[in-house]
Amino acid sequence: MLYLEDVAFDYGGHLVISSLDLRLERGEIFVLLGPSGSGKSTLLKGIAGVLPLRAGRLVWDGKPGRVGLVFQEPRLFPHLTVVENLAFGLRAQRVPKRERQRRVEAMVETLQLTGLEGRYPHQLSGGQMQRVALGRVLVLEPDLLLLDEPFSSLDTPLRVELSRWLWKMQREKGFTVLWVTHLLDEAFMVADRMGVMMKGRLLQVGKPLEVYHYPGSEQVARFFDLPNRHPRKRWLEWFPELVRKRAEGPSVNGEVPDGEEENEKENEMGWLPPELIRWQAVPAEMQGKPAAAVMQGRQVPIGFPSTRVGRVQDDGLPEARMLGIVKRVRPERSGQMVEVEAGGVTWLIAQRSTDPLPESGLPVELIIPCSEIRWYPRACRRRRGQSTAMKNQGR
Amino acid sequence: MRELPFILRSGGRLAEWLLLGLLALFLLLPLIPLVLWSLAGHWPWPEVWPPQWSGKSWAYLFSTTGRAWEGLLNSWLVACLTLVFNLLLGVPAARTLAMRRFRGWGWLFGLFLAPLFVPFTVTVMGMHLWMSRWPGEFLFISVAIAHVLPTLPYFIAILWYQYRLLGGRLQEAARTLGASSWQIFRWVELPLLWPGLAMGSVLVVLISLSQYITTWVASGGTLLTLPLLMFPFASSGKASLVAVYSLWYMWPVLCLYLVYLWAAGRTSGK
Repeated sequence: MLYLEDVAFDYGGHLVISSLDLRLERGEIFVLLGPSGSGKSTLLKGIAGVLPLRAGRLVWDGKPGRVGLVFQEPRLFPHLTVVENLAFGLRAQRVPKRERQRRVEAMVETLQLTGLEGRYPHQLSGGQMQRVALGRVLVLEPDLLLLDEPFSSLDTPLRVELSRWLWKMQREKGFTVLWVTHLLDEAFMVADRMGVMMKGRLLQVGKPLEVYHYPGSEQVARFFDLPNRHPRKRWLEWFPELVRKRAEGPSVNGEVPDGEEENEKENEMGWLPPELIRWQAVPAEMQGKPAAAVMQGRQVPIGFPSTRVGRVQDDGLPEARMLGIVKRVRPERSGQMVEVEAGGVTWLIAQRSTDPLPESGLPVELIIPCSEIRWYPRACRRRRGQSTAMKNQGR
Repeated sequence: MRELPFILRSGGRLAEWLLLGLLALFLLLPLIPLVLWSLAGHWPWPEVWPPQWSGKSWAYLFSTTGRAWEGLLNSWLVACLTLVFNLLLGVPAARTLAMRRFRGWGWLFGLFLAPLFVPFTVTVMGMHLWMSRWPGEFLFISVAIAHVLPTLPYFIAILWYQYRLLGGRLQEAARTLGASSWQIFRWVELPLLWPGLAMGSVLVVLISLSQYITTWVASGGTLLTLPLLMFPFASSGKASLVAVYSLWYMWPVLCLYLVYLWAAGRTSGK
């Protein structure tokens, strides 16, 4: 639908975005993630025409579409009522009065603002103001809706409710959305595709889970704060046999295939989702040994406190084990997060709320499925379109 | 003990009203001697009250020689023209100074405020030498241009501050909704700038109405505004006539001020 080719924008006299390529497909929700100051808002303003294009071009498939921009703060006109705010854009574009009235009335109903038509912005709640701000743009029936962290100033339940409402409306109406946010949960809730932007550059684009699980670089991984993240060298130090055998894809006769050696060099980092690591209390005969001792292939007696004992690996390979000490157990929305000090680093293990909780200071044995390590490159590779980490995964 | 906060609150409110009353008295008190003088035939010192009452000064004001209506009309015409020039020059200047930053911004801002510090009598003399060559039909315009000198700095300063308070976010939002620059000015900026614009306009009119030297030099004494009519009586000590001309000068100003308060009260209710 819209292709940004090698675009550059500056803001306040500084070049904020340089040489950025992005393609937006018709009817999709593309979520742009990134830390503050990465240029996300500048990009939106540039697409909306608020900032001039310094270099590159914006190419539409067919005739240029209508673009609407919703800012982070509502920016309602304080001297106009709800209805007058909603009608502002229609009035500016000289839509006839009757048609204007009809569209505004329909939007008031859609936004569930019936009864508030005559109120001024200072008489509305935060959520109501943001709905009016959205409605003011949606009433213009844009082809491309640009959202600049539209719900970041609202509390979580309201944010979730409005995100769901907007997602539903987008599915009904079919307009394209470029949604900027720094909140991961919001991104995952709505995105068809996701991009990560840092320091004016688009580092990675892909499907949400693909981008999250196979980050394109250490920068992206750090932005997502991916846990249990270590360089390949470190993984090899701990688990030399298991890591090498399950490097990038299925092994042949226990040897790493030739093509995969190159991937090993490129994908120098690896991380493990905390929900895949298990722990169990250290058997009595192992207590007293150094915490950093590594065990492989040991059978564990049933009955000791542990998580999901007895899970069978798909490939039949033994799981790596490592002794450690529980440092902390903290509650999370979906359960508990256990922090274990082992091998000189802190491991995070996610548990369900119904799983047994270890006590702080308890010696435990970590069961680490090396086959599940997600490998990714340390530095971003300059390729267009596809997530480079995903490309290198043998999945 | 429960009554104490009530007493304290009531006491605070009482003090507020007392202060307001004193302030009003301070502003209105000078009007009393003016009214008395305007009706006094003769009021020698140290009489507290005029021993003789007379309507001669009022009769003189409205006589052909008094030129009451001519003076009032000329004063207000010049004031209105001055306001128009201030709007045409001051609004874009204030907007640019508030919205943009560029090299020499400080110098430009200082230049606009310079008439407040540089004796403008000299500038007006220079303008007179140039304007005196203009045809007589341009008399009002030339005097109004001269009045722009002492009024524009105040107008720009007030409006600049209002623009700074307004910021640029709402205009940005309006632009993304498809509004043109003129629509943004009419529908967004103007309504929100109204308090500052109104106050600045009132100030421009008041300053223009009170100009004596500027009007005298710019017109060569040919355009008779109320200050020009009043001044000879002031310098010759004819207090009764000065009082009458002052009250005549004041009533439209009071009306203007009441209109401003009424309009301000209406818009602040939103």
